[in-house]
Amino acid sequence: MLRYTIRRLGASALVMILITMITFAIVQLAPGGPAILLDEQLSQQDRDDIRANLGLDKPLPVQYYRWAKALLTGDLGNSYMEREPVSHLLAQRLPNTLILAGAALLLAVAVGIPAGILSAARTHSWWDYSFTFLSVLGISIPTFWFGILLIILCSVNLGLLPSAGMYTLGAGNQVGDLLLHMVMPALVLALSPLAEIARYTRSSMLNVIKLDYIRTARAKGVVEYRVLFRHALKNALIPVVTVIGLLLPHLVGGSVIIEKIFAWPGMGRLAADAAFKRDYPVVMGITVVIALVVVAGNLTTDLLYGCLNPRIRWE
Amino acid sequence: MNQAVQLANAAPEPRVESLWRQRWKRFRRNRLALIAGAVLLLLHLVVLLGPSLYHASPEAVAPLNALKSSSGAHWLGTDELGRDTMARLLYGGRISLAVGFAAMAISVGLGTIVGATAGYFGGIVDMVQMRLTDALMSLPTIFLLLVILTVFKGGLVTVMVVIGITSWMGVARLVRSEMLQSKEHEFVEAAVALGAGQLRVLRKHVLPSAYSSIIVAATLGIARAILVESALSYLGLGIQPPTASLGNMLTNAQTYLWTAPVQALWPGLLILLAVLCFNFLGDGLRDALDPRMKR
Repeated sequence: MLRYTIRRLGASALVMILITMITFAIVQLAPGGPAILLDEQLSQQDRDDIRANLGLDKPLPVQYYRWAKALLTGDLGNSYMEREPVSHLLAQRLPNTLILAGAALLLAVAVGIPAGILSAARTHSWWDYSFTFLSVLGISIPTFWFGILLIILCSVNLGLLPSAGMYTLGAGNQVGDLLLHMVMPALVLALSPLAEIARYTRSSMLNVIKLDYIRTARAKGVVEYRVLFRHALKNALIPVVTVIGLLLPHLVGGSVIIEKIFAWPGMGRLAADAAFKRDYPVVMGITVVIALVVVAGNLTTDLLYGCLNPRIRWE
Repeated sequence: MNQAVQLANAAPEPRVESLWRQRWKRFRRNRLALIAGAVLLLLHLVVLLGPSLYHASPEAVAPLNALKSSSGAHWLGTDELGRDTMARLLYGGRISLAVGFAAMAISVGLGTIVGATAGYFGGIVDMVQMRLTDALMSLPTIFLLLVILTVFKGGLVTVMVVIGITSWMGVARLVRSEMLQSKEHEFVEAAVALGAGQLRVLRKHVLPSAYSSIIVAATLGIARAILVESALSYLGLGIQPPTASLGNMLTNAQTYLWTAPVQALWPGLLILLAVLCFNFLGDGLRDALDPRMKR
C-alpha cells in the first residue's frame, strides 16, 4: 500500500508539472507574446517597458521558473480587468462552484447507482431499454440547451424556480433560497455524470451477477433483493468508485457552461468571462487550480480504490 | 442414412462471405443505427441544398420584423434582429457539421499518430507520449479550450483546429492498446523477417487491426466535436457573430426567453438530432465492426 501510494503521488506531481508547462506554453504562443494583448494602442517603447517590467524579456525557462515558483506560494498573478489578485477572485468564486458540483455529484450518485442496479436486475425489460435510450440521450443533449428548456418550463411557464443567480437580491442569504436556485443548475450539471454512473453500475452489476458466488447465494435461497444489494453490490461498486473519480473533470468542466446559463457566480463563469475578455492571468490561474482539484480528486479515488480492493492493499 | 448423405450433398456450398460483407449484415440488423444513418444523410442534404432552395439571407437585419412567429415568408419566424431563423439554422447546421468532420479528422489523425508510434515503438517514445496524454486528459478539456481561445480569436478555422488538437487523447490511448496486441501477431514477425521497414510494417501490418476501433471513435468524435463547438459558440468564444452557428443562436435566444421561447427550440433540436444520430451510428458501427465490444 505504501509503495502504491508513493507511486500515485509521484504520478500526480508529474501531471501537475506537465499541465503548468502546457498552460504556460500556450500563452507564450500568442503572436508577439502575452504583453501585446494588454492594449493595442501602446507604442513599441511602452511595450518594451512592460515586457521588461513583467520579466518577459528573460528566456522562457527563466520565466516559467518564476511563474511556477510564484504559483507554489499561492501567487497566481493579477487580473487585467479587475485589477485584483487572481487568488482573491478565486477565493470568492471557488466555494460556489464546489457547492454546485457537490450537489450535482450527490444527485448523480443517488439516482445513477439505483437506476443502474435496477436495469441490471431486469435486463431486456422495458425499463432496461428505455434506460439505455435515455443514457444515450443524456450524453447527446447539449447541456446548455437542456438548461434553457428547463428555464422555459420551470421559470417562464410555471414560474416555479428562479432562473438565475444564487440568492434572491435583498432577501438575505437563506439556505432555502439557495436550494431553490440550485435545483436547475444541479440537475443539468448532474445529467451526463448520472448517465455515465448508471451505465457503469449496470455493466459492473451484470459482470458480478454472472459469478459463482451469486449463484450459490441464490441456491441457498437468499431473497433476490438481498442477493443484489448485499452480495453483488459490494463487488460491483468497486469499479464504479473509479468512474466517479474520472467524472470529476466532467463536473468541473461542465460548470463553465452551466454557470453561464444560470448566471451562477462561480469559477467556471469567471473563467469563461475572462477568456472572452482575454484576461489571461485569470484563465491560467483557474486552469492550474482546476487541474490541482482534479488531480487531487483522482489521487483520492485511486487511494480509496486501493483501500476497497484488497488485491492492491496487499501489494 | 442414404437420405442423409443425399441431403448433405444437395445442400448448397457454404458461401464464404467477405469480412466487410459480414460486418454490413451485422450492421443492417441494428434498426436504430440504420435509421440514424438515414437521418444523417437527409440532414446533410438539407443543410447542403437547403440554402439554394430556401431563399432568405441568414444575416439580413430587419429590426421592424424582429421576433416574429412563423409565416409564409419566414418559415420558423425571425430572431431579435429580424433575421430569418430557418436560413440561420441551415447555415448554422452547415457550420456544425463542417466543424464536426474537420475537428474529428484532426483529432483522429493526431491520436492515431501518437497512439500508433507509442504502442509500436514502446520504450521512451511510449513513456513520454503517454505521460503527456495522461496530463492532458486529467485537465477538463473546456479549460484547455479556454486557455487557447484566450490567446487566439475564435472563428471557423480556429474552432476546427482547437477542438481537434484538444480531443485526440482518447483516440491515442485506444490505438495504442490495439497496437500492443496486434504487434504480437505472427504475420508481423513474418513481415519483419522478410525485411520490411519499420514504418511499412506499422502502416501495412500492425495499424489495420485498429481500423475498426478508429472508425467507431471517429463517428463518436464527430458527435463530441459538434457539442463542443455549440458550447464554445454559446459562450461567445467559438464562431463569431454575425455568422450564424447553432450555439450563438442560442445565446441570443436566451435573452428573449420570456417573449419568444420558440426561438430557443430549433437550434437545440438540430444539435440534439445530429449528435444523437452520430452516437447511435457509432454504437451500431461498434457492434458491427467489433463484436467483442458488444455491450
